[in-house]
Amino acid sequence: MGLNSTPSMGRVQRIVLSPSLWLVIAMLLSGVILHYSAQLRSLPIPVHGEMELRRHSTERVLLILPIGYAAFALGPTAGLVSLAVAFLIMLPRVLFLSGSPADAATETIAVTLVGGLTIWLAWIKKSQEVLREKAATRLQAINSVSAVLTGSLDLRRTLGEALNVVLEVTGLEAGLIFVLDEKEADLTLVAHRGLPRAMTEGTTGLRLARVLVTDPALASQVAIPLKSKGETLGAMVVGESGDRRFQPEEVELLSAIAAQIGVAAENARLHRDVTRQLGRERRLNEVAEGITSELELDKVLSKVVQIAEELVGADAGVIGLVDETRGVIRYPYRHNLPEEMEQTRIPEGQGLASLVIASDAPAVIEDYYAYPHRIEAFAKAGLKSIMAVPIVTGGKVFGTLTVLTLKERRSFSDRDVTVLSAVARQAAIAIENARLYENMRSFAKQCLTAQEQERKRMARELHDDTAQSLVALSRQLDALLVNSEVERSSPVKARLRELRELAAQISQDVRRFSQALRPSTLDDLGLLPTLEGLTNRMSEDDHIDARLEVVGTPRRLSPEAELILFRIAQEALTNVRRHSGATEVVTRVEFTNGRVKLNVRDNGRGFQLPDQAREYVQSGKLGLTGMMERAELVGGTLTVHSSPGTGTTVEAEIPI
Amino acid sequence: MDPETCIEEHIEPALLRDFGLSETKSLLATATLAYVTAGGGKIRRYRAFLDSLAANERLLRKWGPERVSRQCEEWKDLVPLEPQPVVVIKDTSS
Repeated sequence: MGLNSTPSMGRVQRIVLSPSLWLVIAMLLSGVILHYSAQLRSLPIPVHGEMELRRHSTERVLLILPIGYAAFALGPTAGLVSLAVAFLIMLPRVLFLSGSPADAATETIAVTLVGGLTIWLAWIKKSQEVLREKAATRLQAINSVSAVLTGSLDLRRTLGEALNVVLEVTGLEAGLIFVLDEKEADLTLVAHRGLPRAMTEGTTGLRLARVLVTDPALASQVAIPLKSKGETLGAMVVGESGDRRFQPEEVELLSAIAAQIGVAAENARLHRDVTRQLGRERRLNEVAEGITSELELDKVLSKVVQIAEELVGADAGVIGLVDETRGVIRYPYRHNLPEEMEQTRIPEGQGLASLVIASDAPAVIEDYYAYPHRIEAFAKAGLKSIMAVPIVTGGKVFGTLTVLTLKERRSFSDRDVTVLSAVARQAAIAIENARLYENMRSFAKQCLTAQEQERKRMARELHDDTAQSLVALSRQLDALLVNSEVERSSPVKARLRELRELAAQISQDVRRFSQALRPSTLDDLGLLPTLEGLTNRMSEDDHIDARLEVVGTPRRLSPEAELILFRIAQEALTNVRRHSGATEVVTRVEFTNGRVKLNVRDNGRGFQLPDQAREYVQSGKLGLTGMMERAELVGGTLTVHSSPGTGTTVEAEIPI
Repeated sequence: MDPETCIEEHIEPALLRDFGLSETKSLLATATLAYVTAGGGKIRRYRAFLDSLAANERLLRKWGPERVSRQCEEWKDLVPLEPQPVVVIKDTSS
């Protein structure tokens, strides 16, 4: 039932057709007949003789019955009408017919008073019923709104349905609900009914709110703030175009509903915050995972910029890194920056990054155009708002993480700064990890270089000193063999011949060992002739069909690249000779643009590879691990393909 | 002057100068809530808008009570309560 229900023709019709009405009329007629029986002798009813009433007190008292019955059965108004009729019935006798007019008047007044008292009791009962009914209606309305509000956390849908219920129970024509946006900087029209479409096309804007509430569709209105925990979250305005005076209970009901809507709005906001927080944490986890699984700084930081943009809802992002050697800030990681900004060179010491690095504190510029230290080219390129935080870990500032908007000015909240700082901390960890990794790689390189230098020195000493001494020894033995005294002694001659052959064998071994340590051809002639020598010796010494294939245009590489590829090929061929049982091995070198591929493929027995490369060490494959480490030192890769019975392929690829 | 014009041409620029974009938006949003829930005509709502600004702690902290009061009075005066009567003085000497 609506709060504004009014009596209607239907209600009158119901009263007319009610048996109670006719019973009241019958009782009143009976009273007339009894009260005026002497005057109604002509009527064919038994009111003569001994039955005739003389004092008329009884029928006066009996007239209370229709008054009371009408008041309780048909309502206080009907009781009043019955009282008036009863009074009119009694009045002629008091005035004109009664032999004791004073008694008659007293009795008539007494009947009227008792009748009035009965009507008053009936009115109290009726009022209580109406109050109960109104309370039930209000409770029902609140329940309906509650049911709608607790049905979903989708604020727009929920508040739209709640507004429908409010208009239905109040019988009003139009209404709207505004809520403050999350930054409390704008009002969003989340639900509206009965307002001109053209007026409600915009959904946000303070001006829209001010215009809508003065629309003629809401000429008579009730406006109630939506509150939760004492904080105003929005407003509900309901009303109609006509003139209407709102009853206190209507305003009370709307206030109760508005309180519920306020709580629902707060719940929806909390739900949205939690969902967003979970999303942010998920993205931060992705960054953290990326950092722990990826040591390549370029990949990590490129991803960091994009995630930072996404988390704070910016249009573009950039990471600036301090170049300590040159004392400048470089911007190697950029995303979505306009061409004009990409091409602009920031003068040394200027720009927001310098400020943030110097202060080691976040900086937010909501209106870049109004920023006194703006870079004009950036303002012209459409930079609207910007936020930058330092990338810092362990008290050391590595650079800045900056996000910016290009379409429209916006404010960045404290929460945005916190989120961006969290991402920047992850970026700092990534940079620190990458630096540690780079230091480790540099140290490993130095170790290898020292090792190679030592090998080179040993190879040269073996070749220049030991091998030459053995040659001298062989020549002296030759000289002894042609000596006449020795010629005469066959046992000595045989012994000398053995010694000369042994010296020749040792000399050959020393030369081979020297070659293995560091072939001089690698420095003098390059990788390919050295590999050719390696494969030729393998064919000759080990009786394995070893071949070298070259694809692309052969060329000299850097000494470091040639040495690494040679060592990988050397280790792979040693493995073939020692473990594979192969009869054939092909070493293939492929020169492409910017890369060199080395492929050593045999037809041996193969072996079961560990699942992951890091398990090579545990399974005793130290040679493979060493090859991998060498390839990685120059930014290359090494992969091994093998399975029992299918041979083995070792493939290294390095940039040149 | 129309309240809307006054808000856009006087109040908002004055707040922007001292509070920046986000703070100004927040102040105006709170005052607009007062405007929306005030009821009555535009001028009465405008007064509620100004009363909300005058009671805003951020505004009071930055400007001080005296300046807030003086500034709000100035803004009130820009939108008179009733239309100004037009007095036509006729030259009756001729």
